[in-house]
Amino acid sequence: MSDFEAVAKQFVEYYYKTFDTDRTALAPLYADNSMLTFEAAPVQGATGIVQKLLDLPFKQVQHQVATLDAQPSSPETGGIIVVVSGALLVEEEKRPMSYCQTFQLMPRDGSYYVFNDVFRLVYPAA
Amino acid sequence: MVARGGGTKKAARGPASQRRAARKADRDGDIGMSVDGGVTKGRSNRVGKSSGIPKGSKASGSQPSRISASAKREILKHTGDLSMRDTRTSAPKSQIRLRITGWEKSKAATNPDGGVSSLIKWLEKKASTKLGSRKRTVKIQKSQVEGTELTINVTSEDSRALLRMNGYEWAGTNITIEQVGGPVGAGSTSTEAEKIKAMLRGVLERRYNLDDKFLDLSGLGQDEELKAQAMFDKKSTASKFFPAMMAVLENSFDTPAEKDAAILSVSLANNGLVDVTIVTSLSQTLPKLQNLDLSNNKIENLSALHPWRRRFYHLKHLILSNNPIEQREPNYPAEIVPWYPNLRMLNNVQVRTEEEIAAKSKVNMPFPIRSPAFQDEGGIAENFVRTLFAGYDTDRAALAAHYYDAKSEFSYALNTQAPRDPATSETTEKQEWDNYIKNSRNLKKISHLPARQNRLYRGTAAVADIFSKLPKTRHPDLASEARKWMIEAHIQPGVPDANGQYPIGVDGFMIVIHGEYDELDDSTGQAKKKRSFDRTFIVGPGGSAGVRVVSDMLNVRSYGGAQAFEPENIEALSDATATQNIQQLDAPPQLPAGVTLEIAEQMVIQLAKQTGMTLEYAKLCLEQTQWNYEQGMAAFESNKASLPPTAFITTG
Repeated sequence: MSDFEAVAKQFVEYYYKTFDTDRTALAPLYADNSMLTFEAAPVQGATGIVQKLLDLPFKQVQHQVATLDAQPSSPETGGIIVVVSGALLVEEEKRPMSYCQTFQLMPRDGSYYVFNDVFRLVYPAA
Repeated sequence: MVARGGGTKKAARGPASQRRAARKADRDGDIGMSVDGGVTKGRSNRVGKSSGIPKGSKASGSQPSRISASAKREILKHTGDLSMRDTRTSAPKSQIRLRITGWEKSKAATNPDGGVSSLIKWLEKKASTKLGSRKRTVKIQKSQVEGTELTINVTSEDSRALLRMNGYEWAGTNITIEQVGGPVGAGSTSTEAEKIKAMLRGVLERRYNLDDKFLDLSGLGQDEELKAQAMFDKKSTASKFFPAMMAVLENSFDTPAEKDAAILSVSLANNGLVDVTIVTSLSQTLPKLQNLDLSNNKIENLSALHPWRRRFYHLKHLILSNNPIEQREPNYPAEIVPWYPNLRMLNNVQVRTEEEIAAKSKVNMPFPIRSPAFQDEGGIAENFVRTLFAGYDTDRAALAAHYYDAKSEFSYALNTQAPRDPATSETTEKQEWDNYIKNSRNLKKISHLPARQNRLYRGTAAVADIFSKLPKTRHPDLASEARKWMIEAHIQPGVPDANGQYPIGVDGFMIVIHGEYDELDDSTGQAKKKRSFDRTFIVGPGGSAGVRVVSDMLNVRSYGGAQAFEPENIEALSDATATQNIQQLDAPPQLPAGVTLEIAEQMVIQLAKQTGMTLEYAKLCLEQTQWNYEQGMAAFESNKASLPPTAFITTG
């Protein structure tokens, strides 16, 4: 029962790599019942979530993961809770912003999707 | 006077030689430094030196007695691990030895003692005047002259004040003050940079009013002293001048707290400022400023002030009168007031009452729900958060027994890379993270399977055990310090059922909390460090408490402040296009669940249309009725008679 950690690591790596290169490719990671809470703004459903992420006021972005931890949130359903903290570098902004993001992963068709995604900047932008 | 408490023996004492008063050398009124001291010039050849440097030689900056590196090694060999400053002559441990050079060319050099006694008097007096504090007695405890070098012993506290005077002008010459055994080259000789620093400090001292805690930086272009230095003649020096002055200001205080307490008001009036680019560092140096005067400048629009948006959180009074902005953007007050949540006065006109400020800070009470994303049922999530942090701060064993059962899991990760709040004075210490690092479960760093498993704590006893190993804490009060918290809660289906009746799980909550705590000293219970943390819980029904923890994940990092949770900062990354209209009015509205920003915006527009109110008032009205449109309409109907004319869109 330790492969949830491998799943979490793989997921985080893939998620941010995709986010930083092509946000539209994140759509398959969400489902219709997925919920994103981005800086207090809630969005439900894969389409809305990806649109929200595309509408963010930056084109170039880079996530630098500092910590990553995971726990099996629900052995019955196979859910995994993943907590990431790190830095967000946006375009010409030299000073990184700190963020904290919690993902609730749920199994689906032999893989996982993001059921809950709570993103929060924890250190101001300027 | 010279050689108090030892040193040269033959110093002729007594104020016999009040022969010639040195001319005014000091900028703030130390006129007539009388020369009343004894004699020692070139006389005390004590520490194995054959002779002093002849008077008037060019050796002022050459540190004749600086010990060579090999000699140092030699001495160290014989004295064990004595620090350098103790190697020459043994000074008491608590004292610091300072070497002063460059004074032998002064106008007081013709005094019998070469000016040493008056120099010492001046040093004591000058070091005792300090920006922001009225009196302070710096005492030079011991002094000794060796050629052109004066060595003095002072307490370490006094040494800071004296070292800041390095490069100051005394009796027509610039003197060098450096710590004996201090870093070689640091502050040696009066370089151009040191001279400028000393000059800037003089300017700051002259323009500071202690009684009013007021720093008057108005009309800098007309300042004779700055003009003399050609500070504004070239663009390159003009742009560096202000940041340099801010750096000098910061270095004039021992702690940021001392600095913030000393300066509450600043005037930058009459500086021909078109925007605040050149003076923007003021907001970093004095982030807690309360009064700021920008009158009589050339500021034309709000965007010129943009770098100071979201800065100066404590600003109470702002003056912008006699700037072109008054004509160009006459409605600027409506926009600028929300930038500063504590602003009471703008251009001497009241914009918020104390009651309004107090009411505003109460908006979040009694529970810091700052987010539309706080889904709760019957106060379960709220009650859990209250109980959890109270228990975590006071009795963790009881807390573990209360909420954590055999299947509950806890782990934490340490983020050592997170930035620190620039406003705090705390610095990273050597063993900064010792108490955390051993059990930190950062999967990015720990790949070894047993380590990963060992650091995931499962069951009441294991949770209680690791809780007891983590430093004691005190979290800010949820009610009175709500702005230090950011709490979100989401209904979470599929939480494992404690009784095993429902294989697909039951409804619980996912609660995400961002905040801070004081780390307490184990023995004294005193707060010693501030930390920021993020903590995610999955909780479900069950257990004796009615609520049980399924997952508890803690993330600890350097204290990063609470600025990110200020409403005006939340928009930093929010969708600019969709919410622009509404956000221009004020900070993002606090919306109940189910009302998106888009819906809220439509509601505001609709209500404004229907009532003739401005968007701002329509929004205010909806905010006060928790975004219930009917109630908003009703509130308008019952209050419209008392609304000011400015609440309505003027037609025709």
